[in-house]
Amino acid sequence: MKALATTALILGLVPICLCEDTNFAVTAITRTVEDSVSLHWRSETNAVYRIQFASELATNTTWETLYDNYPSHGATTFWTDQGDWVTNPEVLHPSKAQKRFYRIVKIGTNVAPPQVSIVFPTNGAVISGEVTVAMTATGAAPIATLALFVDGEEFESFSGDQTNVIINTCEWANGPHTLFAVAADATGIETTPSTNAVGAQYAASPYVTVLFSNYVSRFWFSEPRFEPELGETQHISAVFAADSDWTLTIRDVASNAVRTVTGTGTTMNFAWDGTGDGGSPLPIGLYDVEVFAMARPPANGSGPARPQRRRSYRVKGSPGTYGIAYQGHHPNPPIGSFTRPTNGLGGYVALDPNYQLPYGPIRRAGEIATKFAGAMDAGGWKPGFKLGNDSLRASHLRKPSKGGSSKFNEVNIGLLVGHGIRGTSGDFTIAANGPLQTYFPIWNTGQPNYDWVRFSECSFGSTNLRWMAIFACNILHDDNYQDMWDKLVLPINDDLHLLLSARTSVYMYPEFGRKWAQAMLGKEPGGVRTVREAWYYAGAKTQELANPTTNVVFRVAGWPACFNDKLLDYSTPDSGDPTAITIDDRQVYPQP
Amino acid sequence: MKLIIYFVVLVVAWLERAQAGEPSLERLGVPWRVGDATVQWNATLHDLPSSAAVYRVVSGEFSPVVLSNLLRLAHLSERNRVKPQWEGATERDLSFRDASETRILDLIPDDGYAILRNTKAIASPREPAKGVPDERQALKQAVAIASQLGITRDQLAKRAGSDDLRFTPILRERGAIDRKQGKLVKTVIARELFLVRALDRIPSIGMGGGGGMLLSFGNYGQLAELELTWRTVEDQVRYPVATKEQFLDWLKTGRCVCASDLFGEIQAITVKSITPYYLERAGGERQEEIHPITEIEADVVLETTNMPVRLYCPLVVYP
Repeated sequence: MKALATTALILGLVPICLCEDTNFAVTAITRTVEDSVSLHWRSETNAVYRIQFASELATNTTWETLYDNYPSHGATTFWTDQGDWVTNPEVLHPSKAQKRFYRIVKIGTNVAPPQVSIVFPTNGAVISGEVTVAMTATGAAPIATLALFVDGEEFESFSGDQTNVIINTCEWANGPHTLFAVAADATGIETTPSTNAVGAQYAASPYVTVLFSNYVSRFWFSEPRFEPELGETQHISAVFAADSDWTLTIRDVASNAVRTVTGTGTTMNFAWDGTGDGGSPLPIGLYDVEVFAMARPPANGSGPARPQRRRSYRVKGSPGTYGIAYQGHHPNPPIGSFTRPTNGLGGYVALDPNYQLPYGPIRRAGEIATKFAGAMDAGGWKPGFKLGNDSLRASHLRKPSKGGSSKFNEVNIGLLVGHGIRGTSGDFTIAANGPLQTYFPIWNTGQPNYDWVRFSECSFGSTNLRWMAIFACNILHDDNYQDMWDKLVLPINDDLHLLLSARTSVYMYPEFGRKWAQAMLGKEPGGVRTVREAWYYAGAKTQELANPTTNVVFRVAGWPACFNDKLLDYSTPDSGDPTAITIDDRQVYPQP
Repeated sequence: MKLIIYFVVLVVAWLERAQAGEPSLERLGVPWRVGDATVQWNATLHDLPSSAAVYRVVSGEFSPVVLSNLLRLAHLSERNRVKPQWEGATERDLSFRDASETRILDLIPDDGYAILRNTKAIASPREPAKGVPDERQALKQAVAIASQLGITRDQLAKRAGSDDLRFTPILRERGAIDRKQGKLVKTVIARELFLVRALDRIPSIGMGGGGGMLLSFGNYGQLAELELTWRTVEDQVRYPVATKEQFLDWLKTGRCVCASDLFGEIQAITVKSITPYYLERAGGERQEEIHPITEIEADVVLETTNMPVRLYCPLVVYP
């Protein structure tokens, strides 16, 4: 059926030029793997075209405009029809149209077209996952709109000064693809045009040919939107680089998994009828779809699994839950024997020499955490738990396999305030290869000594916990971070979006927590900040600038897709490959 | 008789207006007293002025030229004006942003505060960092922007004994573990610096930067952030600077604060240097007066250890 429709469509193509251009000719008609139709024609430099279509040819054919003001690419030009679901009535994707006739009309010539180009990626680049395409456009008049085209299909058009756009390369087939940008300047769009107003000028950038390379490719939806109650079905498909175990998860706007499907093979095809796991129809709304695939072991059972790659999806959320924990009631040492953490070899871990001082009271720890809680409450977030001083136990931080409960994984955002101490010798209680650790000295009144929680005894991230903040010294110190990463014990799991902390010492200023919350909630001048930028903002507002003797550097680590997460507008992690974990540093207490 | 009483009341009211309160140092540290510990004074007071002003902060306005330049730097216009949304915003405050809230400019004229943000100017994790200016280029750009905002070099703090601007370079880096190299590889994604305001050639300090201007430059030198804290001030009253004996008395009686928590009893202290500053609050926070203070660098001997500390005391003697 699909092949028949395609044949009719191509046979039905009638290019017509409404000008006296004897050079005009359609040079090729091609079909993409998604059954979009590409029209190629010989063109005039600086010409501007309109692409129209009709479903039938008749004496008085009514031509509908599919795309207007499309600039020439030079001697030849191409454009790809993907339908238009925004118009009313919707123009179906060509694969669903029985037949479609096209005509290309030259509607003008540019006098002073803008200069437009793609600066990233560059020609010949091999790209994977989400990629930000960076464009530049300049002209005699300001640039009014800029659009990115992938293989001749308009991917996104935007106005203003935006010059970057993110594409998820998993949505296309692996292999070569052509990117170009189209710009229109603002000439002639005055409210009251002058008598001899010049029309807008259009230009297309040079082509950038890149290679998409993904484990999951052609992640595709048959419908941009669908109405199950009318019997419509959404076909979700993907292609894998190898025979894989795959899981498809459909989530509602609150990130709850409402439908999960699993399978094996080199492709995935799932027809979703709008029902959840129990078979009941799901309410009307927006749903995000995630596919997870992992290569199946060869028949003989050997061979490493391929890196995981996941589709990141964007979520418009609503206020959720937060959890706080703090300890500032540590007594002035000596307490008991005041030992250091054991190293698993019968001795003790060496700690950073700068921290041989006693780990005494932090007078403002509770204030930092509770002010954060107060601001989050005011922003409509609900407390999941508040654990302060003696009510915080080491087991709240440890993961279940280490005898704990991973308490923070119960909420959406967490803040832990307390001492952080950096080890400088291997800790063999964690792994046989003795990774360096950072430690939380958990103190409970009446106990003989600290209960040293190793950072690697934690596992942050869950279907609930997206952002975990640890306001303590040196938790993400360069040496310790790298060693934990190298030895595969970094406690950032696949579900955590971002871990926010510091790579140096920090100063405990009581307003820190409130500032962080306020900045995320948009209650500070400067607008709603990302979780990450708000962390830095709070740091800059509360760490001293007065003649410092040391730098304070805040560090955020996490999955790239999540770096611009806001509390109510965020993206799910885009990878399970540890090499993708990215760190971001901002000095908040600088050296003059 | 009635006339005489009125006269006395008026004089008292005038004196209260002229006198300034004392600086509020609690934000810089915890209250701290030397007590009976031995104090060794090795600092010189030669670099301190004989008197210093306490400034009153008055309501200000951004001039049309400065406002126009800020809007131009933000790539915004009057059409982008919206109602301020932050906590405590007043009718005098101004807010501008584009539809996607990529570019934002918020102003609090009464505090001389402006914040400009362009969230697309710094490379995202999947983007390459390109054209990030070096420190020299960033400083040049920053001084040019300061000039557009009506700030001259004379109003900026200089390095001690030099005409060079006193500024704080701030690096923003991003990185990941490079599997081939087996190490954390970082890239500079933005160059920031903080130009420090000077009053009577004395630098401003304070939590969150004090007076001055933070600038951040991202890809191709685009202005990613500008945060201006430039309160309008008038000279209110001058007081004599404290003597060594008065500083010692303040240290002993607890009029100074310490930037660090100290654990254990102080047994001895050696004062190494003393530097004047003007204490300002973070940008956007209301402040009635700007007081001169001193930062004292000292070494302390505790029961269990020795450590360097920074102490903050008033600079002048208040009546």
